[in-house]
Amino acid sequence: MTDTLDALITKITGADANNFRLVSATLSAFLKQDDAENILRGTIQTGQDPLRVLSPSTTTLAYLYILSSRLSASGNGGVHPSYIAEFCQSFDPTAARFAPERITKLARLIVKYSESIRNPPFAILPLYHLVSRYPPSPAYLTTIHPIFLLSCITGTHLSAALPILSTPISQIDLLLSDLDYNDNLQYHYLGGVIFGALKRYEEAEDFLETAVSSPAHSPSAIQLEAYKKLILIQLIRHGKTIPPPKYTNTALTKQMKAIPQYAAIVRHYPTLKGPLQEVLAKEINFFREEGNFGLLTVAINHARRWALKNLNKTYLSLSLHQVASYIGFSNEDEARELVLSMVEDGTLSATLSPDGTLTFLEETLDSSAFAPEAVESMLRQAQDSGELLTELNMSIMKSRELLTKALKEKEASSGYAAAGSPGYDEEPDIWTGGRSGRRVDGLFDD
Amino acid sequence: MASEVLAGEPLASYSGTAPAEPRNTKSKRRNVVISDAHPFDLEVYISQYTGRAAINRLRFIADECEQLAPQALQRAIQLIIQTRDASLYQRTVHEFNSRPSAADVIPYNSEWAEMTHAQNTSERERLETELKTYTSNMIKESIRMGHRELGDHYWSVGDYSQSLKHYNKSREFCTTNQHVLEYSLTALQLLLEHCDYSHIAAYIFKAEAAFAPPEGSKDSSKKSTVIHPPGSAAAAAAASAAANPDREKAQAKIDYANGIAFMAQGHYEKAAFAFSKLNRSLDDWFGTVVAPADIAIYGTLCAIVSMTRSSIKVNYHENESFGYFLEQEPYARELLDAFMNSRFSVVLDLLDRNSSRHLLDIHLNRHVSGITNEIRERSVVLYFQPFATVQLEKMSSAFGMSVSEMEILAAHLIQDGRIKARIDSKNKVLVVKENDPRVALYRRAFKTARDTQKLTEKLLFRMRLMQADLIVKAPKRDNHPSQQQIPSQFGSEVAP
Repeated sequence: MTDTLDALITKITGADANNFRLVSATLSAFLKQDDAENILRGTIQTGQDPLRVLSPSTTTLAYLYILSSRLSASGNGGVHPSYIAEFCQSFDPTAARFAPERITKLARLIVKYSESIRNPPFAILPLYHLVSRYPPSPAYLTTIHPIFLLSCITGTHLSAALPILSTPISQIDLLLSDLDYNDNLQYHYLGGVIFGALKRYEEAEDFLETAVSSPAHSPSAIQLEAYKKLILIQLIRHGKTIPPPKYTNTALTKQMKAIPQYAAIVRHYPTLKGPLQEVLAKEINFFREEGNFGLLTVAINHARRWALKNLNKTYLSLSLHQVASYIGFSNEDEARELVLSMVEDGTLSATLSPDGTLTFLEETLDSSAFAPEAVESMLRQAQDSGELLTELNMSIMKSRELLTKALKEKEASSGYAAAGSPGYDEEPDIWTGGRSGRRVDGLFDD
Repeated sequence: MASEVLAGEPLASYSGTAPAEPRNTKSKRRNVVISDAHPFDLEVYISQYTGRAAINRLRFIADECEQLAPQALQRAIQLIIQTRDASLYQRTVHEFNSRPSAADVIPYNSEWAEMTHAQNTSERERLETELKTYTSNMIKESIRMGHRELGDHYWSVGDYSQSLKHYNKSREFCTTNQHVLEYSLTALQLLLEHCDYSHIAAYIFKAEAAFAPPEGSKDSSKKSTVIHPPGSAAAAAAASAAANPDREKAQAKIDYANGIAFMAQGHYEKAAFAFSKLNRSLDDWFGTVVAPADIAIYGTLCAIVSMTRSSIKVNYHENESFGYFLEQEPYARELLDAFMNSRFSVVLDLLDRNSSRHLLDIHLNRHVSGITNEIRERSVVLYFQPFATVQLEKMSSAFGMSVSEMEILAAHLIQDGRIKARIDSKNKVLVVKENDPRVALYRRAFKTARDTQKLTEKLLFRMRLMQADLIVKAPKRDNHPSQQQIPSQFGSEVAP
């Protein structure tokens, strides 16, 4: 049994230093000692700071344990910021993956550290290194992700999160990172918030929708918050709300509909005149308290654009005076301004003649979008994902879980055994969404 | 059936006016004006009805039309005094005398009122005693008769809910289908008289159930025509007319009630089919429940507001038995002809000209504005169909409205998606939307591809989440401690 820090360090930097599994096992065994954390926080015999002696890249695990232990002590254990930065920049990901809980702990502690030195933006860079270097590919979700996004927001440096947000999450590995459902919800919710604040509403909508439609037995508060923002962003992007995916928790949709203020906004949007104004005037404090006032303001400003777009559907040409009265401007100049800004940013194709007549042009077809190359690339994408799905389907079909379940079902329904377990002989065809699709879903139902 | 029973005190019981109450509050402000452009001849109109049907309509007209109120109320009082409804008499006289513009006052004949009231009371007591005797003797048929007579009695004194209550009780003692049918039809008549549309369907169902068994398969086919009217329902009805005049009469009553009920719910097409099946075999109810001219109007309006031209042609235009009704109200045929020949300004003119006639109809009143608007909109849609571009000016003259009105209407129809066109407001032209199907197809294909791709990715991710059991669970053990830290402020703190 190792007792001192020196002995521990000697042991894990010894012959088996590259056997991370062994090192990690030694460290976790060590942690079972009563005063393990205290020992980790100590100095080595020579009185030197162990973090100065160890190398974050070659002795990643030891460094990680000591660093996280020191940071969790009061006064941050006298850790110099450069230790954190250095570790995050140069740690060995393969080694670190043997101590996922420790990495999560470290991430949280970095945030705490940045708060204690009253410099929240400090956390962003180390966390960025951590989140981008730790997972084997950026498609994996880790516990560091939501922490990183949150620190970007509290550090008011939103665009720092973009490199991470740009790769959509598609992989989950519980061995890589001890994830909780909240991590997933928070990551997508915060991602939506960041994109929304950066006015990148398309991505924001995607992220929020993922949060809203995440599997749930009963809806979480984060999902409801995400839903509220999603609705406002949909109003901005589409001028109306789009029903959430079918697999969204129904209780959540009901809860959302039961909030009268949002329902009223959705009902009257984008007609600014009359009821919508009344709701706004009356409920302005509600939306302020909800924290969605900024987004709502954007939506309301967009309402005029939607109203003008609707006019495009009805009219070929009309006078600015008419535009002003339909949309609810008090004079023609405001209408002219709106028209000009929309024509400029390309959301409207129209001409404005000197006498104040607005003539909408037929929407021209962007020929490049329908070029053979575009069609081909789209087809290739479709084929790729088709193949991926076939593969996935195959792997599920031969998975132990499915086979046991299918066998059980077969026994249960031996009454009509002739029908057999749901089609092993069937073509693996996930596209039809028929039996195979249901089988995939059903597997993880319970 | 909601019936608050005020213990046998007809004078105090106002239950008879229950359906009239909402009408009063709603339409007090709506005053139908009779003028040369909107003629209405009360004498001719009311001479088509007898008894309570006339009284109710007169009172309705008095409510709706200030101009006709004195005349109508006076006439109503004359008719009421021939009945036994003392409370209605009292109310009507009061209404007449309390009109602000009342020049002359009709004296309240208290002698008659008291006498009638006394008679009613003794009559009711007699009937109730009889019923008691029957009940103790357990003679089913007599009990049924007793209830029925009490129902008749309450009806005649204007106690609607008591009347219906006794009719409903009589049903328990019905022994033959004929009795059930009789009872259902009586109840229907009562409901129609009091404009109690919501309950009509239930009694129609009872009547039809009583109808079905005695005549085998023929009837079931006939019954089904009520629910799913085929192309030429009238022809089917006519074919079975010869078979049994009694049945035919009952069927006609059911169809009429059905039509009114559908119309009240705004299902004009179903109503139009029901009315189209009617013929002269409804004659039992002519005058007491409905006038043939009414049927012509109801049927025509419901048809042109909802039916396709081909089914109007089959069910109305070429339907001889309905022709009988159209003869009673010549403008109804004009309306049909004009609509079929696409002379829309004539249609709208006729509607406008007869608007007061429609508004003063007890059943039609609530629907007039809706029906008129709908007919106008349909006409515009039909008018525009064959064109690629139309000058709004031409269009507005065809409909007899101003260009700006036409433009607003067209804009409304485009926004509803009923006209696929756009308005060139500068040149005042309506232009069909050009749609390049190839482009539309490409657009759709691309959109579908993108959406599917996205959806697949989302579903796969969702599957991964479920595989990893990252499913939101009800917070039993932890209360989402981390939730509190999430900043939900959007614009105020974070947004640039």
